[in-house]
Amino acid sequence: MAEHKEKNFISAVVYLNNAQDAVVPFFRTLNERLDARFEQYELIAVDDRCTDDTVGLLKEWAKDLKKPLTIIHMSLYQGVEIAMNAGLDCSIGDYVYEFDCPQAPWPWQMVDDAYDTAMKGSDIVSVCPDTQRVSSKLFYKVFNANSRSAYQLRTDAFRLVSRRAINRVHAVSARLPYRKAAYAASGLKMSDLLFKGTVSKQNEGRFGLAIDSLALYTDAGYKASLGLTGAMLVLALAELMYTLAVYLGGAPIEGWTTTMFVLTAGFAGLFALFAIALKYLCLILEFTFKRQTNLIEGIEKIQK
Amino acid sequence: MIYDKIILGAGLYGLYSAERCGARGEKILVLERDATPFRRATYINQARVHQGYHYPRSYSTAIKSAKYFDRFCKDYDFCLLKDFDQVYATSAQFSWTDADEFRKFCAAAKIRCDSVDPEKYFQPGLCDGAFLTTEYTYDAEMLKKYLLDKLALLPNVEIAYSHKPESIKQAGSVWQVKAGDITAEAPFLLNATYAGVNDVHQMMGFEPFKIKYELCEMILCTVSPAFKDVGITVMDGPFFSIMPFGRTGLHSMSAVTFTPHNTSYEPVATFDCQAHSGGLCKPGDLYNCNDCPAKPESAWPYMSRLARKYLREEYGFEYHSSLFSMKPILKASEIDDSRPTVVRKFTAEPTFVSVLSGKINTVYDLDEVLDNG
Repeated sequence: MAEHKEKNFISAVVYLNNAQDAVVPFFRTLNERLDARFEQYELIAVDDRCTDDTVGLLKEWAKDLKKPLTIIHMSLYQGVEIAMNAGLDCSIGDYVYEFDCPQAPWPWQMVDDAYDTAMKGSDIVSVCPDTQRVSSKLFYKVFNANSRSAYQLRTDAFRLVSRRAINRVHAVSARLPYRKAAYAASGLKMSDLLFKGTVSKQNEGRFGLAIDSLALYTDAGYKASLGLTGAMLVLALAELMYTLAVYLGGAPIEGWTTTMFVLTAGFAGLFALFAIALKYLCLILEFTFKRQTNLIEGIEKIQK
Repeated sequence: MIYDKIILGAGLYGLYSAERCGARGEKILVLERDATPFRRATYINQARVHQGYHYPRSYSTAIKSAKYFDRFCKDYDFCLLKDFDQVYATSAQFSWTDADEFRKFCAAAKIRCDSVDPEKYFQPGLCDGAFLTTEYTYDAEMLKKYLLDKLALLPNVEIAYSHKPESIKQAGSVWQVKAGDITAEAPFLLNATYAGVNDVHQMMGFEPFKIKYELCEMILCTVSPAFKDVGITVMDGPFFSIMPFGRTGLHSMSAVTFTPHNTSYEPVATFDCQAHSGGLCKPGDLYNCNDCPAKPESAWPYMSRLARKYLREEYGFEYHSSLFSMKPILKASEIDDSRPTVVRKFTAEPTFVSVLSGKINTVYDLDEVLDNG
């Protein structure tokens, strides 16, 4: 049978954070799927500081595994993006599956479908639920409206990316604070596959990520500051007109309240601009000086 | 027969010793269990003449390597391949050392290290530093021929192949060694069997060296024209290396995460595969892994993927063949990555000395014990 299997080397990276009930069934099915289709593949589990028995159960299951399983132990809880980046850095496949959680609300056939879609020329294939939560919808709406990329983002359950796409996004920037947006901005072909259902609520810390992503991958910040500048300009013009009117009308010392109003409003706008500039400065600082992007405690290789 | 010295193992360490002592007229017997010399570690390794780059976490090993490097290059110049670009790179991820550390380390050890753009060789973002270094590779076949030619001129040196020691006993002030049809005696016994070192200790009742064993695979590759005169070593973390293999025209490839197929922590190498060797190999009686019917499947799919992930497309390589060998690694040195030579004299009158080294150019560590007993 081996000669019918796909020759591309596949990596599957799975994020784990206290998922002891889900981990073994997920890996078992994933492994069966990959084994049926691919001649060579590797499994990578990113243990984002699990405090339950997730890792123990996984290791127990992996005892009879024929293919290599790498477990990356994060030093401290760092959230899905940083942890998955570590998994991605560790992967060696021509194509890499990214599973942000060990749950499959999608039919397993989608794993194969994603690969087929990739073979048709998509470097990034996102498998997405057809219904999104309200907050996600709002975020993606703002994001897509301001995004510089050719593709629209939406909530996704897992994705398949090519090595080419990974190399491309790393050429653009060493860090990927938000993988999905980085892929979309890579300029390579991206496809969405839809399935009926939703994905479970992601972990906390998504709000900060949302703000960072908007600042990094969209021009929302620039637009906001432009809007504020515009508003202040209008305000300044209005004040000019008012001053003119007062001058022409010959009315005396009446402007105390208005002056105060303009001053405070002007300063408020200025401060808002500072806030935006600060946000950018923060990001620049992080990119330039925080070279160690993730903290890893150890890497375990389990293979026959 | 009475000899001045009996040497176990016809690898570089064994034959070097035989030549050095034979040249001054000593009567030497070399016992080798394989059918020809240089069949194990001397041949099956990366053929790197170490300058010390490999050990960014151990200064003492680095400095010693650098010193012996010059001497080895002078003595064995004929078998070296020198004119290729040996590139060392620090991986951007999962590495315990980085580009700055490496630069500092080379400066301290006084070895060459010229920065080059990592993207000349590597995919973007994967390596944070790349350095051109001076390091050579030796050709084991040529080295073997040279040593055998020299030994052929010495009638006082005998080499018995396919002779594995069956018993070693002390008889007064000499060691009595039985190997097949040979029974030999000498007041000096040198154990230069590398991975078999503890097998000999066990037979003689001496304390084993504290080592672990790794069953390693080295892959020989044919390479694209751009790769012909380039050697690549990515240090630490996802360590891998593809570099010219002596003057064979092939490149050797190894990768730490995929190269050891199995590890044994027993005093003598103990592996599951021994049960399938058809009785050729067992704990305390280590057979040649490369000749073994139970050698593992190649890790080529994984090693090649790892290397291709890092390297730019123009540095292409294809599978040629695999070589397997047993690598003993001293446990105490595990932490600082150093693999020093151990030369331990267990007894005097009769003298018994064991040597264990993972590097070719530290062979000179033997001089003192060979000359002074």
